[in-house]
Amino acid sequence: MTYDFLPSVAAPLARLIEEFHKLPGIGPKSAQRLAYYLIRMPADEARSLAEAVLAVKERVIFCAVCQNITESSPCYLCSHEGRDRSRICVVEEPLDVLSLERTQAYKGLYHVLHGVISPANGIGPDDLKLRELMDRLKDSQVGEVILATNPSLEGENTSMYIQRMLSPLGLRVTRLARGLPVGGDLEYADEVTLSRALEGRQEV
Amino acid sequence: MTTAPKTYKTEAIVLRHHPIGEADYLLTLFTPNQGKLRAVARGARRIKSKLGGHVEPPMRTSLFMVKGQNLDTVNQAEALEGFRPLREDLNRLSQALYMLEMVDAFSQEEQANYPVYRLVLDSLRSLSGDAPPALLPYFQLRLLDHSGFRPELHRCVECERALEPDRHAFSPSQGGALCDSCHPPGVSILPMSLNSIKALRFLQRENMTSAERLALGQDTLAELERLLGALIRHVLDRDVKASRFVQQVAQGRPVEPAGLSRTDRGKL
Repeated sequence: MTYDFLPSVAAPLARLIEEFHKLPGIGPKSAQRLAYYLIRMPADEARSLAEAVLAVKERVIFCAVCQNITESSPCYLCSHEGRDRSRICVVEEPLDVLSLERTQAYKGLYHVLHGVISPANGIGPDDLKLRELMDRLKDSQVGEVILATNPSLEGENTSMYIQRMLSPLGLRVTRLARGLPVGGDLEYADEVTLSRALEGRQEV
Repeated sequence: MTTAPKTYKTEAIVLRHHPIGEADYLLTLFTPNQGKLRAVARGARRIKSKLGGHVEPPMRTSLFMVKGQNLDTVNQAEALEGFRPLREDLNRLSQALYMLEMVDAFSQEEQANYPVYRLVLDSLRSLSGDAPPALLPYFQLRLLDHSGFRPELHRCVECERALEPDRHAFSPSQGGALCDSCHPPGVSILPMSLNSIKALRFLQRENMTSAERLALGQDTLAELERLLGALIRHVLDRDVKASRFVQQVAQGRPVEPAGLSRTDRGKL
């Protein structure tokens, strides 16, 4: 989209509208609204926003070990003394690390794939951080890899792919259990979830 | 004046789901009577969603839908068939993903094509069962048939004479076989062995039960894949993206990410 045909829009403003329009979920109208909102914003707030955008591009990097988003490499979790270095939990996205950390039940390390195999969208194994995972496992003290991809079609697919990829290494490879969510309702459970929950039933 | 009903029920095979919004999925569905549909499943990505587990590809599911201005919304869903064996085996799953993408690519929205619905359903069931080797070429041929692109395998596509059982070639752009004496200029031609043309004719003629019993050598299978792949590429004017994944999985390739640029590392 270009505003060249609208000479009545000041050039800097037109440029801002175009930049907003590139963002996901922002259509032409939203882009215009955001741009006009910024004009009325106090100068220091606008500067702070601009600085935040720059800082995130300049200071945030991938951790060379776990590929998570971090300010320093190796990241906080990878360099933390108290973590269990014999386990790696493989997740799809950086946000999944946050979710797992919130449980406070896992003390091992992570590996972030930054995506999931999705052939229909043209995302293959080569587009994920799989080579980094293999490099990491080659000469390490890791004894278990926990596959914590989503229990969706793509997540299962990715998980099976990694499982196959790791099998020559002779590691213990585990998958997060699939079953009923806390607070859920049996009535709404699908057959795959329910049959897996049955298989994974436990002595009480 | 009667107003159109605002809700309807249908069963569907879920071809694709695409995350949209905070926790929703945009679904691509294939239904027996309305063909391909797109619909929103609100909240389906939430772990406690009552829809989530019922609208995962490639499930066959029973849906209660509400008509919307642009897109219909899934109000209730109940999985009818989960094809679990297929979801738990990488080879089968990769083939299923390929089939789903093919159906999506070959169908237009809201154009009913019941034979295609039957074909996908039977193929998914077969994949969940014995997963016979000839299933994929059978599926490809049938889908081409039902979409109006049936390849000609009995007459030369150039001179229209009946093919003699000697050397043949295959012309993807003309959609069929060529006899030994025809070499149309400027057309890319693939060699086709006698075994391949026999197998193709058999699969084109027979039903799925016979196709499931057809034993094919690795060489013939690979050739069928080349021939049909080229025809499909010509018809769609693009690659079926999942085909590369099917090959990667079939080759049992561990992981050899080709040309992953090391310069990407440590940078966003």
